[in-house]
Amino acid sequence: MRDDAPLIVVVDDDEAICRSVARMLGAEGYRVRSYTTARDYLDDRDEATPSCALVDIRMPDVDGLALMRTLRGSGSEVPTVFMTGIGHIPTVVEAMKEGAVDLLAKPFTAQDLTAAVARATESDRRTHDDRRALAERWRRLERLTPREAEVCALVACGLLNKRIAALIGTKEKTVKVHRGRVMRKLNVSSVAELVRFVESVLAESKRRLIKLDGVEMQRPPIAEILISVTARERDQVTPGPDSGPMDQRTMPLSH
Amino acid sequence: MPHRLVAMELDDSSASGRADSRDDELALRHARSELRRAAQLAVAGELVASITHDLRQPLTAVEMNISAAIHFLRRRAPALDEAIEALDDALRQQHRMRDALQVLQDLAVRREPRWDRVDIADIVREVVALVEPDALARRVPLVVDAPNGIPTVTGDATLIRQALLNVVLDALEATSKSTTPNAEVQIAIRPEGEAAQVTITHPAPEDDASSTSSWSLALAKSIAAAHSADIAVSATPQSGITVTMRWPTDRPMPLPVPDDDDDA
Repeated sequence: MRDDAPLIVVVDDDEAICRSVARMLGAEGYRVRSYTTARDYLDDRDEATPSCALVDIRMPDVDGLALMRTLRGSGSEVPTVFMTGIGHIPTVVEAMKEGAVDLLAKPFTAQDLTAAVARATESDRRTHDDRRALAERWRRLERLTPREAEVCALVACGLLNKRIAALIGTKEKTVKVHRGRVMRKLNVSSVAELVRFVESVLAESKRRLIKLDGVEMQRPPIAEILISVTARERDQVTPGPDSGPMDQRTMPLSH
Repeated sequence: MPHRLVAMELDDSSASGRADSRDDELALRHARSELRRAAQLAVAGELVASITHDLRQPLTAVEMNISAAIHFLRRRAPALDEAIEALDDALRQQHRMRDALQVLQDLAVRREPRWDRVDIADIVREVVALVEPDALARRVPLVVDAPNGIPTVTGDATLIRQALLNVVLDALEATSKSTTPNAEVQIAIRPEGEAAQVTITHPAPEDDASSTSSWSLALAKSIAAAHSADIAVSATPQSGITVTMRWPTDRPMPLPVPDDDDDA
């Protein structure tokens, strides 16, 4: 078992399930912590940032759904796989609505288990990578001056230097200088790359805080300029026939 | 609750002017038999659902343990200790399933209760004798208070024994896991009005998980229902878990059921 192996949390009121599922996942190379009550896990939660939580739906006291709501309420995004003894349809529907990534009906096989956990940890890894990438973009964005942020937004909207110069009331030559600094500070080598950079920041424009490996990061204030200038500029441009600017702004981080 | 329903039928028939024709009596017997069958099916359905649920847990654990054991053994340097541990655990879960199946089998074998006058104190002593080795092995003291002179109850001795046995075994199991100092299981029997009252008390477990497994209780409840007996579970942190069963003392024996039952 390596220290950097994904951590899996198992919560089931049946000790035999906790023990055997933990054993199986341990054999697969995961790090595992198991708890026989939701409360035990909640008390211990600061100790561990799991990549996947395997949670029994039916437990006395705090049940699986309540546990998941509590976790979500405190900002945890851990992918959750529910285990259930009886296929009680309303509960299952509710579980999926709460954002469970998978559902394992007991008795499940070792393959069912490892496949579900692999999917969950993979989804956690992707979320984590996305967060890390966004945090890195924010960090670079922070280096821009307000004027550079404005130029950056206008370039990303596809405006030519001459037009940008007219809009912000300066010379084309100055815009070129700003543009060069923006490219350097954001560490991009082409306009296409700059557009992608800005798009990924805009795709997460509602997010103001990132939790990464237990460390919180606030969105830099300079991002506001980027967001508001782009929004203003796009509102003025007549939307194209098929890809309106609104669509692009809400595009998810997929590449 | 078959017998309560039967009693109502009987009252109705006597109120309607004591129909003494033999046809009426046969119809009544038939109706009563149907009622009892329906009640038994309902109880069995509930029981099967609860046992099915309780089979899923150990079945899952067995699957996980065996798969893990295979994993440990397939390694280039097989992890023997881990594999043995996993297989031991699988075996324990296998026993859990066997116990659950035994309940089903007991139920299937005994289709009709056999009514007798039953000395419940005797049954308690039998159950204690049965579980004593287990209690010794688990180092759980059994405190038994089963005096003579408790009025007899009307019922099926084997079923009553089964109900008591399951509850006592669960109490032993829970107590053996308890960290309460001087944890013991107390079994007492007392005359209580029109009933013989059996109480089984053990310390409350630390966690909130109920110590009486659902099928044991479901079985005890279904047997109690067939005897018009009450069963109640109370739990307090101070006094622990108490299962109280009140078996009604001598009532008139239920009339024999028509002979379409082959185990009469």
